[in-house]
Amino acid sequence: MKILLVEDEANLLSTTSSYLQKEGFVCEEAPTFSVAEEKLTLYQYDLLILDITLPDGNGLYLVPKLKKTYPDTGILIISAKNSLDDKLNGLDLGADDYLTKPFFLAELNSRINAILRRRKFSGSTSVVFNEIEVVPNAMVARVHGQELDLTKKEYDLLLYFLTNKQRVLSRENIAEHIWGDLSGSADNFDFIYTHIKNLRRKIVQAGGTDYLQTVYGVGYKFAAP
Amino acid sequence: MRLLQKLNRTYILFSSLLFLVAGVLLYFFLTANIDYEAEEQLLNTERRIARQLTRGHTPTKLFPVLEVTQLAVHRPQGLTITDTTMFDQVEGEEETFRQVRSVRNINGHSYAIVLRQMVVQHSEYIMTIGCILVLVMGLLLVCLTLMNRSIHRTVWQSYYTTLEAVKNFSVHQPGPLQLQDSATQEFQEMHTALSRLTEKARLDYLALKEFSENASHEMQTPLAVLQNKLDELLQDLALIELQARHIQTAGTAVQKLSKLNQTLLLLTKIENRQFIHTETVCVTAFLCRQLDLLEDFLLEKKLQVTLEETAALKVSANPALVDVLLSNLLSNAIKHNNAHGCISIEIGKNRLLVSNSGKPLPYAPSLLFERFSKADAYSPSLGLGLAIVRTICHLYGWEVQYQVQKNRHSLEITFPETVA
Repeated sequence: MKILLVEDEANLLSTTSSYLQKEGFVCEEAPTFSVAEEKLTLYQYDLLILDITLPDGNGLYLVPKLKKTYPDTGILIISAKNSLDDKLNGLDLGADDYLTKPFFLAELNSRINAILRRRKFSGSTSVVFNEIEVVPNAMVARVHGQELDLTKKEYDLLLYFLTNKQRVLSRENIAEHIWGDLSGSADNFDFIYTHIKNLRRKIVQAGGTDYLQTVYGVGYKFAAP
Repeated sequence: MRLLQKLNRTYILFSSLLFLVAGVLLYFFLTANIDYEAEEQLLNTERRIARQLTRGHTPTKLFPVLEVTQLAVHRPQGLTITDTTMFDQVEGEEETFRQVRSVRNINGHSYAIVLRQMVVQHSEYIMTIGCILVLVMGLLLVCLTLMNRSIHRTVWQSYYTTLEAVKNFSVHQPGPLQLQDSATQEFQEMHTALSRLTEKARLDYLALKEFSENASHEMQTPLAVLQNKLDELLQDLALIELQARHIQTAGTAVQKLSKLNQTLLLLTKIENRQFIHTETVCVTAFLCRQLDLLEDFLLEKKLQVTLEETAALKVSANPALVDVLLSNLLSNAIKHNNAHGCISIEIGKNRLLVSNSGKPLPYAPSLLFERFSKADAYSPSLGLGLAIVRTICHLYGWEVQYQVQKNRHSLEITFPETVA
């Protein structure tokens, strides 16, 4: 999968880029509007990750152009402006999703995967890890082919862990993914534990292995033991 | 009071005073003059009669105007002027006469001459002057009112058009304020001043908006770098638990800073009235959705929620802001609640009440809605939730009030009658 990453902040560009490469994507970098425009004319990408505010132009202008030449390319907008206008504008122009800075790399990965699943595989693909299988299109999770009875949040958690295997996900990260802006309403993140406990129990009861590890008491990691 | 009314009132007051003074002066001058002339006339007539007597003619008697009598005894010459009241047969009533009574010694005889002239009574002068003045004043006022009204319609029209334009002016509007040119110099000057002022406000607003957006961008990007680097650091397998905890603490601080930045920008945006889109919002539906979203937080504290709806509540507002408002109200009720506490929500005609159990307020209730008022300095909360609630209420002219009764805290929002 080939991704073009447009971001003017050098540090953020390199961190994100190396992370995406580690996740198995082919990632090309574009630090300015003009470089991005050039690359988009020359090559075809599966996904464009676009920072709106660039030193030499508004990234939003690239969206309709790309929609015309390569309508199949997925578009994920990243913006520092948490402004509703930008969000609606971006989505109206044909972007697939919108992410506000600062974001967790795991969250970015999960959004990228969601877009690619929808665009490339029409959502029919499933995410598999050993005996565990999640079918995002049907919102179904199976262990050894046996369907699990999960709540919406447990399902979201499982998919998030599966998309970000081998990665330590802090409790803040998980809270941000599942509860978004509301995660600030809590005094602590103990309630995450309840959901994880239930998820664990349901997987183990269906005969699956417990891949969820607690790491340093700061978060969780989904990995083979 | 309207300008026209005010002007007319001033005109009436001043012209009444002026006419009063004029009346008084007129009365005194007129009576003094007439009295003087009447006296002079009487004295002249007396002199003429004396001359006639000298020539040997005896003038005819004419009561009560003229009486000449030859006196039997010799008397010294003299002249007195008096006012006297007599019955006038012609008029058939008592009248006041000015009377000149003199004694003249002519050709060795003494003559008594009495001359009388009817006097116009002062009250009659007053009546006449008063009537004329009132009539003239009435005419003047009618003319003034008509003139004012016509001036108002023609000259002031430009003022009212401008006023309407300024009333409708908003700093969000895309172009400068358009004012019609006026032929009146003063209005034209006002137009110039208003155009300059509104344009300044509009440009300042644009600059502020741009600044707040740029500030957000400039701050969020370094924060994103920080957060990603910390997150990457956490992936290091060689970490020991203490290091991991430090990284996590730093990460939490970065997130808090970012939330703070976003929330302050949100407050600025609300205050700048940047949420223009408005639609009719059903509060109950929005509230239920927020309660669903907050389910985990309610379960965590084992809070019992009761929702009582006595009347449908529909408000006209920006839906995103209504979400923010309700979310903050509920978050507040959850955060400051005791474990196993309760939250009760009442929705009625034009009112919404959210009350929760909880500890007594550690600061004065007047500080409740202030920014960064926190129950506990180390609390993870930003202390901006209720400031946002107040700002949104203020934006739409809703009233929000806090009440406490036996450790039961209630926030009530009253919506004006006219909503939706």
